[in-house]
Formats: sequence, structure tokens, C-alpha cells
Amino acid sequence: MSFTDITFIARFLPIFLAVYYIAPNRWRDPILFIGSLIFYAFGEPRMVFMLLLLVIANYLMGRVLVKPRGVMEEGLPELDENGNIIIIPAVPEADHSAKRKAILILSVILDAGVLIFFKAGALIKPGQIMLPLGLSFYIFKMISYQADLYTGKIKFRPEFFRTAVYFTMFPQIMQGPIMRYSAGDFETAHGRIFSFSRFEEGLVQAVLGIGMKVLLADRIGILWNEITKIGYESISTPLAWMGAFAYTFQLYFDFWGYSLIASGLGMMLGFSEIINFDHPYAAKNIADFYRRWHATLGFWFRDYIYIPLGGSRVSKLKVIRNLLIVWAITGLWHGGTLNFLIWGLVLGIFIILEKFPLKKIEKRIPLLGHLAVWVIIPLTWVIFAIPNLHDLGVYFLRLFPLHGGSQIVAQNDWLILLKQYAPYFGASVFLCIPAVAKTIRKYSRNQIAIICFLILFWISMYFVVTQQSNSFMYFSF
Amino acid sequence: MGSKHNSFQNLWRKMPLLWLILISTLILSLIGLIGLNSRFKDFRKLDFRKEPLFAATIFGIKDSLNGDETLILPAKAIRHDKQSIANKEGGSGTDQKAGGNIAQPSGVRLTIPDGVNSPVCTAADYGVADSSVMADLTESFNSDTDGMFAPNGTYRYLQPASDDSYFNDALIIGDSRTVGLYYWGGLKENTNFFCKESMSIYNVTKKNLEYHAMNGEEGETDLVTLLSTHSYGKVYICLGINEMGSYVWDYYNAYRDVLTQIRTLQPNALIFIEGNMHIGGTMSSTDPIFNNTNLVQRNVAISSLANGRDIFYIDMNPVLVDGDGNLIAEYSNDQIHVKAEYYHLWSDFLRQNTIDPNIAPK
Repeated sequence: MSFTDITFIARFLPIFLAVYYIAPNRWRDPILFIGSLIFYAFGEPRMVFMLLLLVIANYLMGRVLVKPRGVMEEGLPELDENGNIIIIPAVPEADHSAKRKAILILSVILDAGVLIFFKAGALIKPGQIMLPLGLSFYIFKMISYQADLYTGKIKFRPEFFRTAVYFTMFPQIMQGPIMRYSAGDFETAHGRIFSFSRFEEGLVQAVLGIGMKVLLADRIGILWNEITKIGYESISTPLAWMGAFAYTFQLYFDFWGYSLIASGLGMMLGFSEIINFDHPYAAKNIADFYRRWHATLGFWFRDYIYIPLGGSRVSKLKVIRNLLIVWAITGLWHGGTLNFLIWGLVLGIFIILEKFPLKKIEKRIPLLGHLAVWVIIPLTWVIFAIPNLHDLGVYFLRLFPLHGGSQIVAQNDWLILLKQYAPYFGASVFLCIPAVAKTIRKYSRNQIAIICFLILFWISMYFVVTQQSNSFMYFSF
Repeated sequence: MGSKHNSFQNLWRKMPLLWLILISTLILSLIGLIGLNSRFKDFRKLDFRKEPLFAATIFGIKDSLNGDETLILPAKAIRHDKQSIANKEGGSGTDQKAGGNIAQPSGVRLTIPDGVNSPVCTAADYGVADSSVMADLTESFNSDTDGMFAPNGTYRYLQPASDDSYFNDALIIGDSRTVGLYYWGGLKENTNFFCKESMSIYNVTKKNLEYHAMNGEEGETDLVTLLSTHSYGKVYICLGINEMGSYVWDYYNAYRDVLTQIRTLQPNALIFIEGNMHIGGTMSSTDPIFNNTNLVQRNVAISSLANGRDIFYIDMNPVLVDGDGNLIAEYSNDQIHVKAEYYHLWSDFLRQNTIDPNIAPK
């Protein structure tokens, strides 16, 4: 069940919300957990058991990992038999650190191992082993949970249902955002904030996300399908460039739309807003882009791989090594085929270049950084989009026609498609401007804005009902 | 009382979008419910365990926007069981150019003279008697098409065209596959196209669709006007993939009506019914609607409308499919359309299988 399935919107969600809000507060965590398992089971009827096992295993390991609240450094004053005040000497804290470290390593090996098993398996035996829904995302949550317990970032021993909800909550289980436990209001007594205005704000976000996905991403994505249909060897160079941008915008609005729905649904359940996309195409260079694009993933890699490796605080050579490691793993996390590894490493190399030789040039000519974002990034998305390396080569020779290309090319193919897709390209560029989103946010309580959201909702519903064949880009991760 | 009124106003003011959505959903659902008993009777086919009531209203809106087109609903797909044809005769030797025995599906009543190049090819499996490709042949199609049949049993025979000028007085009608043929088949300078994505036998004479003339002139027009104002020596039709969700009898009857209309407007044209191109194996083996069993059944049905004298059935699939009757995997990226560089296989097939109007039937 995806967020833009009519079964989710018109059946699961209203029923779930009714049960959730009718029930007393203390039942809401178990309800959310069970509801999320049901949601997951719709998409993965067998893998839901593996998810349950991993939730329980990670919870149990986490109980050991909780950083002990230190005993008093000084003893406490007490009265002895005679009524005199004596100081009970402080008991030195038992040294659990070796045990905790061992459990941390065990949990990371278990979690990462499951992920690597399925990713490698799906690559090697594609018929028999399939990547379970959301695995890459919930495993990352589990690893971050264990690490945060170990370092004490999560201060209190988590309760089972809070943990289970954190790992499995349906607004985030499919494709993230990879929220941190400590960001989920889980450590406050009530767990989250239930308010009418938060609910409404979440609803607005979800409606905007659905519109973005159904009315923009899905539509402009058809252009990429058209190009694939024609065959890369037979498209003209202008069409190849249009295709790169069509794919770029589809990916952006599909994932940003999904993230808005996820954040909105979370808010409708009482959680805080999560920002996964912060106007990446307004970034000033490629490194900045990846702080704004799929931000929760980038922060995960920063906090749990880059910084433990030394981050930027080590020698220049080691920083380069660290960046290459992070980007290689990022590439492989997105997909097991070679093109994803190439994609990750290409980005790593550009980021290294921006950090060292190009830094001063980009500072002096800021336009170069923006150009990198608008030209290099779409080209890297082409690498991301085409798994077959031969086809990828063919596509790049259409983008940069040094030679090749069949004689079949219809010279005006791009003109006809441009006329059809111009409104979608226009809307895409328009929505890349940060001021636009900020304005919408600012006026989102305005009466006219509400009417517009209502109209947007029903136009989206028209397409959801009549198309009934949606799928998110990152789905089989 | 006063505080209750206040808190209701409060609720509305705090969650206006929620209330507007709930109210509008209620209204559209009521319309849907009422409509299901009257205007939207057809939509009772929807599976209301998964679809909300307002889906009926939405389909109603789509229906009125689409005019006369048949609406395909997402619910119960028309399933075709794979037939085992162990008890059928034939099923072998289907090279239509080489002649010899051609498997005759038992439902089609056409007699082809023995030992000659068959001018009328009936759709059958292509070299491999794979039951998953053979149509459900227990249905018989009415071949009585009033004056379309050659009463004296004489036929014309397919042969290669001497050059592309053969197509100068032709009109090629079709859906998105024909659009591909237009762009990449190498015929656009020598013939005229009337084609558009989403064209179907149900809308071909009813909507304004795209026309590309040989001389470069193009625009939107409807078929009746086009055929009333031009004179063609040959008319090719290739429609069927967009109708896969509808019932095969409806498709057959609509096809027959369109042929009657074309014949009335173009009394002297040769009409070529093109068999629909098969689908790729991946989709065919998993999709309940878009599969070759379903498709071949439709091809068999429309092939019976040919008479071998002035209406012909030609089927380009032998040059595009593999031994299982599936579109060759390398030829297509989306299971339904061939890539640009393979359209020449189709246009070459058309060049090889023409009828010379100057040679009398024998």
C-alpha cells in the first residue's frame, strides 16, 4: 500500500485515525505499532515477521546498551543507629563498558548483516530473494538507535512500544525519513503533542505532498518513460537533455512529495514535523545540495560513519578517504548494481574537489556552484537511472554527441514533447524556488489557500482513482 | 450551550481543511451512492471494499469528459484462462508466405484454396504450438458481413511492392504503435497517417485526432471528414491494444461498424486489417488483461472480417516475435512498443505484403 493508493487514503487512514483518536492516550503507542504492522503486512505479508523479530531483537539489545545513569559521585548522608550523621561512601560504578561495547558491535553486525544479506541476495538471485519493503530505512533507524543508546544520546531506557513505534511507524516505514529516536518526542512523558493546529498543519502538508507526487512527479516522469520506449540510441541530443531534467524533476518531486506526506501524517499523529528536503536545487554547490537532499540520510551517514571515521578533523588524505568511503556506501545503499557505486563515487569526487582545489574558485564565482547543481547533478541522476552500463554509455553519447546515434533519430522529437511537457517543466522550476514554498507555508491558514488546498486534494483524488497504478521511485530499497 | 457552540466554532476554525475535506467527501459520496442507482449503473463493477463511494462520482466525471469512449474500470479484470488445445487440430506450420497448411482456428469459417499463397492470414501461433499463445477458440465469430465477402470465392494474393510509391495513396490509421511507425518507420514522406496515442476502435470515428499527410501538411481532424474529402487507394487499420480491457465481442462489432463506414466513404479502396502487434513475454505472462492469449483472440476475431478480395488481414507478428509468440525482448523496453530502430521491421513487412489492385482476383 503506497500513500497514493486509494485503499490507503480512503480506507486505512480514516479507520486508523478514528481508532487512534477514540482510544485513550496510553493505548496509542500499541495502536500505532499494530496499525503499522498491518500497514506493512499489506505490502509484505511474509516479511512482517522478520520485521517483528528485528524489532524485538533490537529492543532487547537496546536494554543492555542503555548508558547507566551514574551513581552519586559523593555518598549520601544518612543516620546511623545512634542518630549520628554519617556519609555512606559512594559505590564505584560497575564497569559495564566492555559488555555494552560487545552488544553494540553485535547489534550493528546483526542489523547491517541483514541489510547486506538482502541487498546482495537480491542482486545475485533476483528471482528468489527480494529486498523487503523499507529494509534499508528501518535498519538504519535500528543502527542509529543502538548507537544513540550507547553514547547516551538516548538518556532513558526506552519502553517497548515506544521503541516498536519508532522502528515501524507507518508514515516512515517505506522510505523514511530516517528520524532519530531522540527527535520523536519519545522521551517526553506523553510521547508527543496532540493539538488541532498540529493535525491541521500535518493535513496540509500531506495534501501538498500528494499533489506534488500525483500531479507533477508522475506526469513529468512519463517523459522519461517515452524516452526509454524510443530507445536511447534513437533520441536527439536536445531530447536527451530534456530527459535528464525530466528524470531529475520526477525524482525530486516524487521523493519530496513522499517526505511531505510522511511528515504530514506524523504530525497528524502528534509527532513533530521532519524536514527531509530543504530546497536542494537552491544549494550553492554540490556538497550543500546533499545537505539539503534526503537530509535525514545525509545526517545518518555523517553521524554514524563519517564522524566515527574522523570526519574532517583528520589529515587531508584521511578526509578524502572518509568521503570516498561514505559516498561508496551511499551509492551501494541506493542500489546494488555497478551504476549506483559509480554514482556515489562520482559525487564523492566532486565533493572532494569542491572541498579542496575548487573551494576558492567557487567562493569567488558563486555562479559556478549553482551551475554545478543544475548541470552536474542532473547528469549524475542519469547514472542513477540507467543500470545497464552499455545503455548508460549510449545515453551519454546522446547528451554529448561526439559520435554514434542511429540514423533513425526523428529530428524534431524534442519539440513535440517540449510542447506537451512545458507546463510541467515550468511548474518544476517554479517549485524549486525557496520563496515559493515559504510563501505557501506563510499563508497556509489563509481562507483562499485552504480552498486551493481543497481543490488540489480533489484533483489529486481524480488522478489517484482513475490511474490506480502509482509507485514511488525508491520503492524497492 | 454557549460553550458547546464556541468549541464547535473553535474546532472549525482550527481545522478548516479537515472539515472541508470531510464535508466534500460526504457530498461526493452521496452523489456516488445516488448515481450508482441511476446514471452510474456501470460502475457497480467497482470493488467497493477497496474503492470509496466517491470513486463512482469521479468515474462519472471522467466518463462525461471522455464523451463516447468506453471507460475501463480497475476492478474485476477480464480473465482469459489458458486453454490447452490438445483436442484441437492444426496448430502447426504458420508461415503465411510459404503457403501450405495453415492452422484454422475452429471458430472461423473461411475456406482458403489449397496450395496457394494465402491472401488471408488467420492469426495463429508462430512456429511453436504453445497453448499459452493460442486464443480461447471456443468462441465463434460471425463471418457474415453483408456484401463484404467475395461471393464467387476468388481472391487476391499478397506480393512485395515495387517501391514506396505504392503507399502514396494510402492512409495508415492506428494507435500509439502506429505513431511510432509514423516517426521511425521510414514511410512518412510517402504516405499519409491518421494516428494518435489512445486511439481505439471506439473513438476513431468520433474524435478529432492527428493527421499527417505525405506532403507535410498536418493537423487535427475527424476520420469521417478526412475520408469524405480525400480519396485513398488503400486504407490500413491497426487498432486493438487500447481496447484490451473491453469485451472482445464489443471490439469485434465496433470494428465491423468502422469497416462499414470506411467502405461507404471509400468504395474503391483496398482495406488492410492489421493484426495487433504482440506484447512482450514479461507482461504477457503476468497481466490478466494485457497478454497475448487475449490479444490473439482479438486478432482472430477481426481477421474473420477479411474477404481476400478487397479487405485483407495482414499480421506483422512473425517478423517481431520469438518462438513463444512474445514480442522479442530486445526489441522493446516497455513490452508494448518496439524501440525506434525496430519499426523498419514493420514497415518492411508492409512493403512485402501488398496487393496490386490492377491484378484481378482469381
